[in-house]
Amino acid sequence: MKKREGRKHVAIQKRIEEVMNQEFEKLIAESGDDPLLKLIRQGKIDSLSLEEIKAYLRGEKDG
Amino acid sequence: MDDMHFSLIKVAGYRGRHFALKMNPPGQNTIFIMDGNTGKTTTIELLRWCFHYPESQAANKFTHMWVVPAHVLDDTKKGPQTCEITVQFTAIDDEGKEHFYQFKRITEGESDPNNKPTSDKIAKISDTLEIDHGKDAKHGDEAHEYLKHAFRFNECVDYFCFDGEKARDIMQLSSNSEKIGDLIFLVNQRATHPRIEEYKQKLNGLRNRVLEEAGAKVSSQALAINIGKLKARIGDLRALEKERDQLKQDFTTHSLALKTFEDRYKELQEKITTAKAQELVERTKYEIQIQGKTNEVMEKRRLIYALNSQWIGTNTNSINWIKAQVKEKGKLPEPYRQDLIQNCLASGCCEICGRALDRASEERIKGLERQVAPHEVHEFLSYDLKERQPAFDPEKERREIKRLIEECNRLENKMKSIKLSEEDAQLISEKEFVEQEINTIKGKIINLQRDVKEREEWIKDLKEEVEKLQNQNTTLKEYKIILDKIDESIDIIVDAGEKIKSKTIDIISGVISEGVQSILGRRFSAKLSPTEGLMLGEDGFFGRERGGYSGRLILSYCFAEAMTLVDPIIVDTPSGNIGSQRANLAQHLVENHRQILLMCLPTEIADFGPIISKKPIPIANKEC
Repeated sequence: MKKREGRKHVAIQKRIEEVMNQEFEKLIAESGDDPLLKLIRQGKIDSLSLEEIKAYLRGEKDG
Repeated sequence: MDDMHFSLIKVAGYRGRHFALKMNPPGQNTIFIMDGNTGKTTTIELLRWCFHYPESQAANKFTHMWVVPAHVLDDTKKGPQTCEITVQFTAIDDEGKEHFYQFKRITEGESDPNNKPTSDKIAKISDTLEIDHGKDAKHGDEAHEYLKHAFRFNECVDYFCFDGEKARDIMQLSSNSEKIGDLIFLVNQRATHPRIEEYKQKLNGLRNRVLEEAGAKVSSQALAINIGKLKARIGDLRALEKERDQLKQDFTTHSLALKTFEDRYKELQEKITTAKAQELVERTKYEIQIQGKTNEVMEKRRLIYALNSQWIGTNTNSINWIKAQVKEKGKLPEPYRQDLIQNCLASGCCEICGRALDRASEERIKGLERQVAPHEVHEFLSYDLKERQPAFDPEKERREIKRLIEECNRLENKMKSIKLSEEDAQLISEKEFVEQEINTIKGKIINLQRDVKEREEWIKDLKEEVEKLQNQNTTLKEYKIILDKIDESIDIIVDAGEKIKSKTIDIISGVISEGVQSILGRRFSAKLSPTEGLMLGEDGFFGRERGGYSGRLILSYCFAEAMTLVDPIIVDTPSGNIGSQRANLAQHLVENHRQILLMCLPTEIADFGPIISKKPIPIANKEC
């Protein structure tokens, strides 16, 4: 994300968004180990093939 | 959109104001020095008007201080006039590209002091949003829609355009235990969770990949058609879900607006009822009397209509006249036969059947003239057609209605002769306006509820269809494990989204408390809770009356900062009533906003302005 030149502080509304996102991530993590959500959190969902995802969902492959 | 920066607000003509507020470049704040009654408040109010109301709903929606609705045209100008406000700003998109936006609202019309509820006779309002110097443009309500979706200005303009009036509103909300619900409702509105969309997009992307891969493998045309249909239905489903969510959001916004208007209506009604002005009491008395008489007239008219069978067709005079004729002359009255008989005899043909008359017929016709009404006719007139005494007298009712209308006119004239004070007239006018708004919003809420319900039903049907199509397709069966898991994961995300709403209050509470501490010092804090509302804390003790006026004003500031969804903050008379905390407030603003725009009184510059900007810009109201 491009930032303009200027002060380095984080605006209040940005801080709120960040805290809310952290809370959201925490809730997702707490909601059991959902395998697909785990793949999204790890940033792997787009790189794995469908066959690999299937194997992962069947427990034949680690995420 | 990120890193928003306002570069210009130009007002030309609205309420007789003419000036251009040119902001310093990004990275710098701007202070405008504007004396009293030079357009500071009007600027804030114009921004709220523009960002709250789309072009089609903007007429008579401008509010000035506590005047609702207020005039927006220049009421000192005679003849046609055109007013214009231009707002320029830049923002950076998710790919880091900067975009330029120019919003313009032009209002054409004429000021007429006799026009109600405001003096504005608006001929036309036109909105335009120009994007990237003419590369794209949105007109009319589309401009509002764009700003609503891209920047959510409509939801937060009351907070990022801050003034004493908003501060007072927040103070009232935080100090009234009956309004805690309203306050929490506002905070819940703030609950946003953009990650939900991100997660959903990823899962839907995975679903698309499955469909693509399955589509590439299909051997039969039927399966290919099935995949095509499935893709289309899933697309429809996504669009419907989005539409439903937007409708739900609109429903919440409207519900809040309704509550605000209903509270205001109650407040106005109390003010009107308890107004000390004798004129107002008398006027209300006449209004009640007129209403009573009008109701009576309506009831009588309704009765006349409802009982029509008892009086329509009853013509007492005609029947009595026929009876008298028969009694006196012993035959039916003229002209029942004479013309017919004369014509028959003159033409030599029967006027009824057209047959030529022979001599015998001619004699019979001549004889008819002398024929007395047969006994059956007497019987018929005396018994069958015996005039029943009508139970209902329409003539009497008509006279009564006439009397009531005359009475109404007399009362209206009396009422008109009462000279209302401007303040009382304003109360009545505002009450009428608020009542109208309540009815409009209620109508919208009913429609929105219906629309949401309708979408829910369509979504349910579509989901069933998608599932059916998926089960029919043999190629998709090998991916069933993925497709099933996608649905489960989406449910988890939606559930987490709901839970985050309850966390929002704690998050906002924490941010407000931090702000209060940074301005008032470590002894102070703030707490927001669904049971106790918003309170200021001093040495760990919380209360609605703590901190005095300046402390509660700072609490309002911090609440507004936490509630806005964009970073720049535009404030009218920022340090008025802040007292000795001016420098701390200035420091807090500098540390927490990327862009601060202040419209300051000349007296606010000394110990406040320089912390924010070294070069305040004097602004004069000048028609070019």
